[in-house]
Amino acid sequence: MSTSETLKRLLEGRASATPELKVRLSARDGESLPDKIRQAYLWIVNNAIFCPTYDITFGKARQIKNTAGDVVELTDSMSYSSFVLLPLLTLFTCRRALLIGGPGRGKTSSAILMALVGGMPLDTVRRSIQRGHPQLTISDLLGIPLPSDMMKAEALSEIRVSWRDWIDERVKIIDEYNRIPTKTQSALLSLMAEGYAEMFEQYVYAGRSSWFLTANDDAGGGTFQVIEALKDRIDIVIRAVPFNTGFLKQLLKRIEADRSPEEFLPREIVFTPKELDEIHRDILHVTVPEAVLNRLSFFLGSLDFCRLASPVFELKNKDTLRLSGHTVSGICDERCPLDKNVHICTQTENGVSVRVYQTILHYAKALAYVRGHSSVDMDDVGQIVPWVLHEKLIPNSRSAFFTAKGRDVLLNDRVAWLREMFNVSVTRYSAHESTRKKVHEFRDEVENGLDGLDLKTAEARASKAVVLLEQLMTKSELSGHVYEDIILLKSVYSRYQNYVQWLKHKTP
Amino acid sequence: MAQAQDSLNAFATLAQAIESESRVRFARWDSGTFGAFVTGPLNAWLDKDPAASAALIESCLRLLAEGVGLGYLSRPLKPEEAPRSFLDLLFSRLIPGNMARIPVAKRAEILARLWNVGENLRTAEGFLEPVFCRSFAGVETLDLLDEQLDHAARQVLEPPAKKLGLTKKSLWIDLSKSDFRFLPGAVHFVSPVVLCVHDRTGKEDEARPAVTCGVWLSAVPVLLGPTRCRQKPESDDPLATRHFSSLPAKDPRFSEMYACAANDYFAAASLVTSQFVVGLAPD
Repeated sequence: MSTSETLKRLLEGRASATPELKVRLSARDGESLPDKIRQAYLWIVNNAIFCPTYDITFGKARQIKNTAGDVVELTDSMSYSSFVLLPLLTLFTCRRALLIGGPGRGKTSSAILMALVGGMPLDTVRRSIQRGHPQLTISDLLGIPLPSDMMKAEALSEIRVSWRDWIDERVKIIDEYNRIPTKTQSALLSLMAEGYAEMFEQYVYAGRSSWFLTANDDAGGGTFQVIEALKDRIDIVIRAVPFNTGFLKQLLKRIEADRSPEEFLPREIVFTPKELDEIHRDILHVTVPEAVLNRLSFFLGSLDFCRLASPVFELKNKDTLRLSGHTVSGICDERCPLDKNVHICTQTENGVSVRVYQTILHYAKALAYVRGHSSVDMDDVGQIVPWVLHEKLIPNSRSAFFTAKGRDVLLNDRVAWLREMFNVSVTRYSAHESTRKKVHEFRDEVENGLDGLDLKTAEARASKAVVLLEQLMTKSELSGHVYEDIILLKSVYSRYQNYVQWLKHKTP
Repeated sequence: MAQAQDSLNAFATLAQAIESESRVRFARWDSGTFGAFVTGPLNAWLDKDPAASAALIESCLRLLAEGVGLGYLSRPLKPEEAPRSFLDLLFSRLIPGNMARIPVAKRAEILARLWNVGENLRTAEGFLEPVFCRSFAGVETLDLLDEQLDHAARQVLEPPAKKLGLTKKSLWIDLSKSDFRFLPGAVHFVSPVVLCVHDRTGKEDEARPAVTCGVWLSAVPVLLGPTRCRQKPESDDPLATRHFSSLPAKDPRFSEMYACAANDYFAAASLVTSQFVVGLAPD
């Protein structure tokens, strides 16, 4: 670029002189969206929710210990408060978060802030919050048929339903969801899970939205038991933290100003619908490297396995136990030769669903995006896993793992337990990596397709799969990840065998 | 006297109003920084410039608030301190030191142009802002702004008079003065007279651009700090290497070369075991 062009570019800008000899400044072009998200996060942390608990950390950690064994970790990179960051990630990924904690910890305030950041006006937010109470009916929640139509209609389809406005909102807040009656929970489930609700054969669609549900304590204790299916639809749990009295002065100022933070949220951190859609799209484009996927699958794949669940190889999983009314705690003992200190399958009563895999990956992408990265790394996954699995995994409290010294305290805190379990699993991955790589080569080969494959090649490949399978069965300890590899190899073998049989049948 | 006091009171009231507004507008509002500029350099300007109109004062305060709110400004410069950015220089020295001497009718225009230059320099090639800061650091008038801007740009964007010939002089440039950890690696030219040196040890990816240092190869080389370069320099240019072929015999300090680059006017090389970069300039 020539000097004159450079100068021209430097002089063209937002400021211009008016005839009244003032300087007028036009609005700034959009900065990067991740930067705007970080600004929103910082504003909330500094002005709205006083939360000095920085429990999502990155970078190298320096540990400061006392003689009692308590440890404080200081990291050299950016750290975040989960109570503020995870709701933002939920807003941008259009997922469903459950905020739990004691009363008055800021759960509803946090959800309101997310709605405001998402562009909803404050009075609309306040009106659209659905508050759980024992008398909440389906009509209260969803809407009512128009009385005039009910009088005149001769068929159900003629009755129009006046749906509640909150159903259309981008951010949906359900306060104290565990106080909603069971019948009404089912209607809520339909809206949350399937994205629509039905009444008198009329349908309303929730659209792309983020859900924030609040509950007062972990056990879902409230007036009604929360149905399992509804619990299962919650993607992430966010724990409210106790107030730190170091911020009492700020609380006093807030009382004296007689204003709450929701009333002065800066417009700079409000996202337009277009920006929200763009962020949602950009998050999906964040890549997940194979190395990260492999480690995540190594961890999650180990959880479902139970060696003693069944003599049938394919049924050695915790679902088999559950369906027969048994528990892992009832059978996971010295009869199973696996070392309870090493293999994580002993620590949980259950495995995880496919939804959990998707949720972890989606939130990890969002976290990487907020950090300004184009791909997910293990730190992102490691920080997300405890919050996603918080209500999904039930610990096997009778496992020998928890009886070891210092480990029983992990039963008091799901986040600490899940983090520990994940870290242990990741460190063990490298020992198994070469085997996993071989198994994946078989998988990739068969996934390339069998079209045009001749009989001899198909049989040779099937035999090679058998060789590796035999090696794993006879030379490796049957643990969760080895089990997964064997099942996968068997499926590869079966596909080749099916193909071979088809070829033989086809050829006259 | 009373009139001057009234003006100052009006200024303080206006500053307070803009500050309250900005506190709500900006997520990263820093009252301390805004206050420091208002009570420091801007107050000093108004003491010397009773003719400053209310419109101009308000414009200046709003630009200041924009700069503070967006994180462009950190704090007023101390008297002998080198400018950190063009906008710091604008509000710390250029306005207080020169605005009073500019004809009233031209002030808004000049202020607007200087703001644009400052804001755009933040995202232009990294070596430009330090050069503009050096050029404007000692100015005593802004009447010839166009010529001053032109001069600042030409210094680093235009080729010098002499080309690199057979006779050369070597310039030993110590990059540890920019950052004691800096270990020069790949080198390339970003303008006829500005060399961009990449740190050898930093890892770069989309999230973390390379650690770099610009060197302005003037008569006395000037370190320009990070260049915000996103290029991946080419591997050694064989034509550049030949410029240095005779140097080891003449100068024992010239040890094993790590990387080199050359254009028609200069050549430069980094060394394997040194934080110095060796430049060759026409003699």
